[in-house]
Amino acid sequence: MSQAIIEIRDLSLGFSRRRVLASLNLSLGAGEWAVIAGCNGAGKSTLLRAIAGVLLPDAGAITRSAEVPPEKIGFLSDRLSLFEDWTVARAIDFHCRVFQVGEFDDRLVKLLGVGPGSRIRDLSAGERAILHLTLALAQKPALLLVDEVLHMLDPYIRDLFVDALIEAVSDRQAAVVTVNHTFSEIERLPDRVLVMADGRFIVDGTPEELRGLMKKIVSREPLPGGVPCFFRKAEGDYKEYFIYPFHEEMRAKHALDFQDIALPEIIKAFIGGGYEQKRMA
Amino acid sequence: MNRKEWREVGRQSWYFVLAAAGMALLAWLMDLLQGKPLEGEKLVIIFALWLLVFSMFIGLSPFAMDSRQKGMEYLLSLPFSRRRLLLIKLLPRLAAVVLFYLAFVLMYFLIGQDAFGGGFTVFSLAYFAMFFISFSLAVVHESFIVQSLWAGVALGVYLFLCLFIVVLGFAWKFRMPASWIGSRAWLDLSYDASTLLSAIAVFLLMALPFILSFFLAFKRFDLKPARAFNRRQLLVFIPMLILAFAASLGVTYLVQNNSADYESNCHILENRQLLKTSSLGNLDIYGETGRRQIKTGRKLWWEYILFEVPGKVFILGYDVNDSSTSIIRLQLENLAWKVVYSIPDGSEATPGFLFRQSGHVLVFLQRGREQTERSGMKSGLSLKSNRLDLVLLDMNSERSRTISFRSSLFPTFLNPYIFAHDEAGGRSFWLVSGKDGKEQHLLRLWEDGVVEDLGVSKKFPVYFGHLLFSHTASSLVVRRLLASGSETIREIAGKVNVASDYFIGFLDVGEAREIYGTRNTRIIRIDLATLAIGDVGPKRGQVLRVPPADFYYVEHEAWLPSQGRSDKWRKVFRLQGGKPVFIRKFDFNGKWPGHVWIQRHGIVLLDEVKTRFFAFPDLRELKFKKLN
Amino acid sequence: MNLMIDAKSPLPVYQQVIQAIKLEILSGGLRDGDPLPSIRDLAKLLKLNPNTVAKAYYALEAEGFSEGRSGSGSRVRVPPGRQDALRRAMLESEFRSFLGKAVSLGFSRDDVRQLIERISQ
Repeated sequence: MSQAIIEIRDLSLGFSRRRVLASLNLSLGAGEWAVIAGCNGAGKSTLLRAIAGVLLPDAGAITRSAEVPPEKIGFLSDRLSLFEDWTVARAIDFHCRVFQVGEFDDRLVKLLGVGPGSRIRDLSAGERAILHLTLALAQKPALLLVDEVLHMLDPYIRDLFVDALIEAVSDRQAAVVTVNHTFSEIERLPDRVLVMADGRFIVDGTPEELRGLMKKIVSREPLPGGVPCFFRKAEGDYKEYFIYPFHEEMRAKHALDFQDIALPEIIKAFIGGGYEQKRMA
Repeated sequence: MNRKEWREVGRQSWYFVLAAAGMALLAWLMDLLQGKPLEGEKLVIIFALWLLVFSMFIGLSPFAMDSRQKGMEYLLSLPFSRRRLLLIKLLPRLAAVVLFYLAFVLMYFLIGQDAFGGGFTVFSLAYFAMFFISFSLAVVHESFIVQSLWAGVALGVYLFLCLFIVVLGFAWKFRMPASWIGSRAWLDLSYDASTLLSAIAVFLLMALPFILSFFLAFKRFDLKPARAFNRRQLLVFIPMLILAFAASLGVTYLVQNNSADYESNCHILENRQLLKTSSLGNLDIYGETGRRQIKTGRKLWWEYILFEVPGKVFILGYDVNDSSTSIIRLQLENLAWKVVYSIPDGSEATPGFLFRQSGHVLVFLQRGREQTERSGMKSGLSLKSNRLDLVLLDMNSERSRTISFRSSLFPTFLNPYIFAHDEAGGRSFWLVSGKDGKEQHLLRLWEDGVVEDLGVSKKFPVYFGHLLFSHTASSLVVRRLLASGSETIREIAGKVNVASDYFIGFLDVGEAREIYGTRNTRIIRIDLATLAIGDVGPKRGQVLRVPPADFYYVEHEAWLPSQGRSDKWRKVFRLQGGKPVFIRKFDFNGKWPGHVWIQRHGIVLLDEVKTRFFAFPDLRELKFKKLN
Repeated sequence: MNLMIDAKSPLPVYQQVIQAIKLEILSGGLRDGDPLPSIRDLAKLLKLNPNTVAKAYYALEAEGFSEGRSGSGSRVRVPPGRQDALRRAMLESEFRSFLGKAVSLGFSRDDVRQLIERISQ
């Protein structure tokens, strides 16, 4: 991996009495695609806002390298905040001027059939997400922060949206951080998966690593000792055991059917385990 | 981004202009319905109030539009540092505020110069303060109503603190307890250059904590709830406010304590020495050889030099401890001083400049304890009761006598003063004039306590050569006073003014043969024997009377106020036999208007740079050692 | 072109890409001299991370299955003589996994042999 373009150290951030991020560390390289998952309220959106500079850390530091000046950060928040009274044309004009955008590629917006004279407040959530993405991409961002907006989009637009992100990475080696709940569309995209719980990362690895580290056993029997179960889900008589961390030696030791599972399910298990731990605590 | 802000401010300003125009129209319509023309002053006051609202609104507005459009997050994600963002927000708004102010000033000088009296300075300062204070509260709360409440409270506290310091400044300047100055000090913020400068400094210094704490706290402004931001701002604000308060006090003390209070502190004595009341309780007498000094600590404030008889001077003083007013006799020989008359506790005398001398008698008006209704101000003597005392103090024997008068005319009598002393039918009388509504009401007070009504005068009356000159709306009436009542000798048509003796303390005019005055833009002479009017020349200044019965004409280099600048010089002429006799030209230094003060024994020349003294009759300049 | 990627497979995605392209070459979908899809296009087609695709392309080039600048300029190269070996190797690997499953179902090697003969008749 190339040198870090953004380095987060001991980042803590909270709102009045609630601590949302707790001594969090992260470093991202150019061209790296990280996906952040986690239960509701884990601090994902707050983290993105902190990186975008919209929220400022209470403690710790976020350092950006010279390749990421402020105008090269594309930020799509889940609020999709823009000046709502404005027309699409004015918003685009303003954005291009402020972020010093040379040429503006309006294919996506055109495709939606959104007229330049329409007011932003009259756009649907999906239309706004696309407009916002177009604006962010126009910046030719070195760092793209995309909060969970995929679920607002229809499958076709979702596809185009993902393609646009892929182009940003392949054309300019942009680093991408996405926050996702819906995973199926993008499960093969990230080279890094981060799972947050209680304001910190509980998992940080490549999809391959995670697939290697978590296996599933479906069984009516209780698990034998020595097999670490991260999370258990009951389906009638059968129970789904999510084994983490998994080692290949376990296959030899135990005559169990360790099943390979796909990334969305792995993440679901991590989130479920996170809830479990929270309940126990 | 800049363009967005300019557009936003432009639009908001435009709404305000429209609303102001609407209000002006409304005021005009209402006046039209009542059948009178629209007064410029009224319009100016409406606009002034509207401007205050505007400066608050525009100050609170920078983030209102963005937040209403749910654009705060977008705004903060733009590639600007927080400081840059704030400057982008501030500059167009500041420009609008300044522009509106300039437009208002223009209007003020065109149509409504008297709208606020002396309050224009305080309005200007409050207007800008309101903007900066509001701006610093721009993110105090999401709701505009709560924001404006805070802005109102903050402005209130701010104005209170500022005026508190200004009042203290006056106290230091005039060396009197602050409680004597009262709440009307704000009317006098442009009393003189140093007061104006220190007031501006105070207002600026006290506004700094607001705007600075905002800029400092704004470095860490983000989407968190306003409370965290407010706490951070407050944490910086409070120490800054304390510092600014201390600094304001310091600046005011330095400026006001060191600036000369020239109205009453220099007096050329008959023997060509100079009597000067200076810093707290100090009195100095300067001669060509040196200085002699009396120090009373802070106990006594020498307020007003009253009169001089050979070898002694009578001075009005305040005892700072018990706020009693006393007449003090000072022996020039050995500087021994003594209180010869103390105005009884709780009662009030006319102000020092309305004391009069007649021969060796010092005479003034006083009202007793039971009649006093303090208005909080020292300068006026308004009579709520029907009793008025005339006090006669013999300056030789240093004994006093009081004559009490009763009249139903007294309760509406404001600032009464004695303007003449004469006798008729073997009985002494004093002529007293007091403000009654818009006119002067003239009374004759006989030595035996009888009060006689002499009617009204549109302007200050004059008594000269045993003739009473009073004004109707269109003429000057000349009367001779009889043992009872008066007879009109002549009525001179036209707007004739006779040099008033309001500030002249001497009732003895001797056997005068002529008086001088003005009619329109000409100086005129009235022959007292024939009452014929003769033209003396053009008037580009003031005609003054100097006791006993001398008239002077002070020509101003820049006379009409509309020329809007201060003079470079003034020329002094003695008026004699119908001609101005040139005496001397006085040049001023510095930017601020100077003043030529003609006293009984000489002329005091005051300007920004220095004070000079010229003694009658030859007007030789007096130089005093150790006088700065 | 028909490239398949299996999300559940424990095999790293870039290796799956390599396998898929090799398979395409062997099956004749891609011939010697054909241009390889650009990294960007392939990433968009398969919804893959462009870095993953790039990594696979590097590997293919190193193995001699493509030449030219990686990315848009790459062309398929089928090294003479290696085609057969590769084909054999892939069949072998498929067969191994098939055998493994058969054994886990409790069949012996003879059972398997008989089955193959019966099906191939």
